[in-house]
Amino acid sequence: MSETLVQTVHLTRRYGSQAVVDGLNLKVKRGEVYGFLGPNGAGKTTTIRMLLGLIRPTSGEIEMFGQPLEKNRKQILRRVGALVESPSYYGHLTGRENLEVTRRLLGVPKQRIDEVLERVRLRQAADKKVKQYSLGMKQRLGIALALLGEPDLLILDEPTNGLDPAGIQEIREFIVELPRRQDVSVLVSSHLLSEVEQMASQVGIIRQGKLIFQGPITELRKQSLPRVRFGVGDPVEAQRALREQGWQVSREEGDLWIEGLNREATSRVVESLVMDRFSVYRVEEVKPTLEEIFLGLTGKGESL
Amino acid sequence: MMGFARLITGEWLKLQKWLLWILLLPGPFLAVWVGSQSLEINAYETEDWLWMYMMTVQQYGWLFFPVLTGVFAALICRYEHVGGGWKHLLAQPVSRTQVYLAKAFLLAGFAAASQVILLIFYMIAAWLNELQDTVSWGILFKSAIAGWVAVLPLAALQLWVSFLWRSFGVPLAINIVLALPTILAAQSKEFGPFYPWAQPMLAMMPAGNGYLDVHTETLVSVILTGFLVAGIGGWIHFCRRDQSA
Repeated sequence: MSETLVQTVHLTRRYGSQAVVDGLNLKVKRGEVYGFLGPNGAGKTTTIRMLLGLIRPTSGEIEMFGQPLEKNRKQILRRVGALVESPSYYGHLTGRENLEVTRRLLGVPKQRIDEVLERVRLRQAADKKVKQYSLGMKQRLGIALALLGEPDLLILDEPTNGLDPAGIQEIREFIVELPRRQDVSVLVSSHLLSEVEQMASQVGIIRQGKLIFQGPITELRKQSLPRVRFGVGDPVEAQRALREQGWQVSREEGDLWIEGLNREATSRVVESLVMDRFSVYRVEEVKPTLEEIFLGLTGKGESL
Repeated sequence: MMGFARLITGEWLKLQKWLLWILLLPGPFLAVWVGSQSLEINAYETEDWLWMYMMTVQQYGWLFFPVLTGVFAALICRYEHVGGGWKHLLAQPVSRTQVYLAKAFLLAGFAAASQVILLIFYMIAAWLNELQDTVSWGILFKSAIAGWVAVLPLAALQLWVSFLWRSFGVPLAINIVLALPTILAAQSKEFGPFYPWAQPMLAMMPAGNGYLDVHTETLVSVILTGFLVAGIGGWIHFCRRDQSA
């Protein structure tokens, strides 16, 4: 049983009467890349800000490294590196100077600056002013800042936002390596399942402030039932006939779909179609992609 | 304590030093220049050095000094406002109280630096006008320190506003607009001491010259109360507020 790094109990944050984060029970363990997933506006950033002590919870508890955040904020944050939403930087300073400002707060040795610059490949640009950096470079500087204090836990809020595909790929590979190479656990938020899928071992899915799924990605796959597609002649009539027999049939693009059929039920549907003299030319089981599962969980209209 | 010292040096690193000079030098210079020009119109048979100082303080305390602290307050918060720095800074292992104090400490330091620069310019002007032997330095130092203390409530208020307000220009404009009535407020014995923008000038005016007759006790108690209200208010608000920008 590995150590729990982050645990929230009924974490709630209200703005007025609206609960932006509603009774969240997150659990992040050591050695994990935890993907915190949800459509924009679902409460991810608010949650992350609460984990960093930037926003106060309305109610609920946050424990990190087994200690209450409220009481031991400084000791806890010393072990956490964070990148919240857009990167924070002082544009009139160089990359190296930016790191130096934070280094002084953390009290780590000076050589650490070169190490993190190397890690995010910013050494060439270290002495350029940050306002001349591209967005990708600023994002990398943000990660360097987060790594500066040799954290045990890295909290990254939408770290690939606004990056080009190459930059996204780079950040992704970087995150995946962290637990293995440096024993850094990661909590990374995103609104894209495809992205989290490639990085995370565990996911938490949040929708309208509520955690609707938490567990391994493999578990998420099992959550949803396959659908069976029937290619039939005269689908309108066939749908009517099946409905009369009590099947939940939907019709999409001229095919009939029924959810959650096992083998026996499938054969019964085929049988009844054939008996009614509909021509059946295709029967196919369709497993939803993770993206479809995600969209199903979070509600289609809200994604992206 | 070590953490606080490191925080201060970090804050110092962020500052653009050339900008400090640009901000610190013109106000005292112009005030002393006006003061020395006023020597020609010394109609009250006041001693020349004192007259020159009073005319200097009138310009400086009325407008330059209160506006300058406002600009500095905005400046030391601007670096965080512009680059999204608050969420980074406050997610570091430092307490918000320390961050507040570090900013306040720098602001008080700039105000003190401005006083020192004023005195230096004044000394140069006194020397150029061959008044250096008549100057009573004790009065000047007392005045400079009193002015520094008197600007602290205003500075605390300006710092509070600067934490809240991202914009640079609007608070500056408001600050200038509010500084202007000082010239009227300072005439009033009843109202003057209660107007934060008038306090530095009232505190800096050498006493006993018949120009103003504000009771020192009134001024001191108003300044102290103002400082506590603005300082503690700003501090608590800064510690408690959501950092969601």
